[in-house]
Amino acid sequence: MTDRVLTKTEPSGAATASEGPTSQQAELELVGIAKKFETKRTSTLALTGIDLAIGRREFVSVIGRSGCGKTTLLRTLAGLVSPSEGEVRVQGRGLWRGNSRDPEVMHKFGVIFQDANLFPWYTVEENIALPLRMRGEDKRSRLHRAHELAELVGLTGFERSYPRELSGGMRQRTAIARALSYRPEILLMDEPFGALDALTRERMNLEVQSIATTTEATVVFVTHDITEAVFLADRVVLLSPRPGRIKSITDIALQRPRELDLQTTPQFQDIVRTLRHQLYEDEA
Amino acid sequence: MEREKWMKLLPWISTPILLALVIGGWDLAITAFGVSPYVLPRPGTVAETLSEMVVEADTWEHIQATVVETVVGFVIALVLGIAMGVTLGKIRWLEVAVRPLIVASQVIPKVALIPLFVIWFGFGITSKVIMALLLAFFPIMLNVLLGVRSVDPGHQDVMRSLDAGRWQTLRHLELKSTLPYVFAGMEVGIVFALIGAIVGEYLGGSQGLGFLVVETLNALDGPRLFGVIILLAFLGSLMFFAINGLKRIFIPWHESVISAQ
Repeated sequence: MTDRVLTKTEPSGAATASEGPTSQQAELELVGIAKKFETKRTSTLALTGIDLAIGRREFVSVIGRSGCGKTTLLRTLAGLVSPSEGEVRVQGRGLWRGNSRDPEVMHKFGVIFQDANLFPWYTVEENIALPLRMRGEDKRSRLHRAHELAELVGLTGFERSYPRELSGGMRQRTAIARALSYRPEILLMDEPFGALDALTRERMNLEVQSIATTTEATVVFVTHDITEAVFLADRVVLLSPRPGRIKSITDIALQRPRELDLQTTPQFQDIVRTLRHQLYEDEA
Repeated sequence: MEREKWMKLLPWISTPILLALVIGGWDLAITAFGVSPYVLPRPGTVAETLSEMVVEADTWEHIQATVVETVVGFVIALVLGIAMGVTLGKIRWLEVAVRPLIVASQVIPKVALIPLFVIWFGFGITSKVIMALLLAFFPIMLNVLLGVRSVDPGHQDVMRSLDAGRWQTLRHLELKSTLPYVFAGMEVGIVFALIGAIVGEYLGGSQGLGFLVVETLNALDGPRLFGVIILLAFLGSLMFFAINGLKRIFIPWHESVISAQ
């Protein structure tokens, strides 16, 4: 890919060298991914030449302006859209086999969307336990797990509530608990807090950090919020639009666990500034 | 909160008051303008006649006939409406193929077909059941069709991300999300079925409240005619609230149930 711009930025506070997970087996790999959306009259190239390897237990944020293909990237990873070119590999296994998805690979994913997408006809505990129900787990054990997760995401006391009785933040917590119910090894989050207010979002960020730590999951987190991306990630992947391609990958070598106050440190703000400049470069 | 409580209580207070006003105005109009009792009987007379009617075994036989026609027609319409709605909702090309026919049959004033049904099926219960069925079928079928098409794409994404099978998606998502539409169709359908049965009775046969309307009209018995109309109003409300009650049991989570509470 000759038109591909890939710069390794090294703002202060970021690691000097990004070894990446290439030395060992990658948990999650995108190899030469391109995605074209065809309609009757137009054909849009949403993604092109995406190569990315993500290591076990790594937390990767993907940022970019709206329309840069970041949601398409996540949906491709999650097996919700099939790539036009290239391959998605999980622990060395291809996600797609012809037109169908490898069920074993699919079971490793927990997907969280921008909208909670809870089923209004099920209570919180039933929503959380739904994936287990579909896997044939008996009622007692799946409800036990649902209560365990309700506690983890701070929903104790609301297990019997219906989604409509919850605030936006609580709905999204329920959606996270649902995705965690079957202990997926990889969490794929598509702007999960985009619809929440700033304060709720900050709290949710702290919780995502602790969830990622306790569940030992590999996380891909798509957002348009630079601060959120930097705060959470081990690496930030910046996409540039039309067609969506990787513009840069930045290592965030800040210590964990991270506190909200970290966001006011010069070190943190340097990284944010550099990334913001890169985002604005696309406008020229 | 105070205001909400008040809003819940309001219909229970306003309905009796409005009813009393209507009945009072009705009575006043008769005494003030000297309306002939053949044209408009006094409310007191109607109440008296009605209380006589409800103890007559005959009246109950007529009620039973109308209820049977309505319910049988409605149940068949429900089964056919759901089957056809789901089929057309799922198979797009089929829906496109039969759409002109559906629109055409929607536009036909279906009660105009009753004489035809009388010729084909006679003056018995069958022609009325078919009329009730025909009127109830379309609102149910069209609502189900809409429901099948209205499954939330976000919910579908969730099921796809969970690698759900066809049966699981049907059971946990599509059926549940279509149910409110089925009930919306049923609420309209039951009222339409009653209309179909009564109009069917108008035009032929010797049973049912519709027949009773025609009979009292021929006898120029104003108070009795009013009595039958009130019975019909009760019957219609009862059927509607029966469906409404089912809705509360089957879809307690739905907006239309919550906002009505």
